Amino acid sequence: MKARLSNYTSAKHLFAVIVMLLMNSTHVLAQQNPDALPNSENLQLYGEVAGFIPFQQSYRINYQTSLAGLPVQVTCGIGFPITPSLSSVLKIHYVRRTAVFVKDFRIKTLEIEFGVRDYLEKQHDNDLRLFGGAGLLLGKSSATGFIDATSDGSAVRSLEVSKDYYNFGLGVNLGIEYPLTQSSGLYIGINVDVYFADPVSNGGLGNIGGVSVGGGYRINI
Amino acid sequence: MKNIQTYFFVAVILVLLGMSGCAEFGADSSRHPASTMPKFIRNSFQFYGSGTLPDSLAPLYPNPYNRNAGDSNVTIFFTLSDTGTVKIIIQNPLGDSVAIWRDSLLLPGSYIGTWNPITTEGVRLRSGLYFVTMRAAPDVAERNYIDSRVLDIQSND
Repeated sequence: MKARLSNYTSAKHLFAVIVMLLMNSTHVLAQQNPDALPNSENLQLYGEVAGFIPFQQSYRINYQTSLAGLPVQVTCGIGFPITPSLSSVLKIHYVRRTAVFVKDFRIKTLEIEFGVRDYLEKQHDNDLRLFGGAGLLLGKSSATGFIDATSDGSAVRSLEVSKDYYNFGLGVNLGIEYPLTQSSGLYIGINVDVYFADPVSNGGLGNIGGVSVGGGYRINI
Repeated sequence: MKNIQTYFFVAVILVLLGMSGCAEFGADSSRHPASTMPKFIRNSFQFYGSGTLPDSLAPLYPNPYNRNAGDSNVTIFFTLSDTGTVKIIIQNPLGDSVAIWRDSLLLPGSYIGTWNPITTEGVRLRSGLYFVTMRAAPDVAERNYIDSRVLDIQSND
């Protein structure tokens, strides 16, 4: 118990340190490049579709991703350029997974990611460009299913119930982008999300993160 | 400089993969450390009656279980058609075991018992949805019986 508490506390400290580092790096970079501050004509919009593989064995085996019949996670985001290569980004990931071992039970997870995205190579016409990113994650998972509602074992009726579970974690990603025009591009990448809070031992969902591999489209407006 | 950044991102991804147990893909859950294995939680349990009834797990009650409204125990009623091992476990929504209520060799018949919703460590289960799953493995039958009921626990804890 003490070890678990210690791990949990360490995770919280790690999370706090990462927040401060991210905030500090963004602030410093903005100060160093006053001419490169974001403007309203240079926002970046992202849209992604990816396959999702959970880390947790039970989540992987007992559930399948099903969003409108497709096994995909969707992401949309907005980026605010800080320098020509670095942007702060705000992304929203959504994944819906249905249970395979019990009927009509599902978990919908909405993640908000605040982080940075950095192009690791200089831009060249018609050439792939490597990028990486990291961010902090806030996740809300809603488990929904049906119970046999009864107070004393009689007059049983089916009742839909839903519970929310909150978690936080860290995400990193790596990918390559192919420019379509000066202001847009297609990219593929791998995203790794790890969650630290909400342990299974007290009824939580544990680490609901995983690896997602997919592609997306970026456009500057 | 850019190469260093590339290596950094690759390194961070690898570290996170390691932290999250990705290396255990396909691993058997029985390999989990003993400290995390569920312990037996003893509550009331008794033989209710004999007869030839099919294997079944009846609806749990009260459900929703509302601790704040004064509910103290969940009643679990099940029937067993053949002599065999019965295991009733409590799982979180993902299917991870948080407690074992019953794991014993039983004769055919009906059984009833109560369970005070607590975790493996003896801490009260927090508000959430749980599966109460019955697994019956008769000595003579080739197929096991498995059934789950969803339990809604409501609490301010």
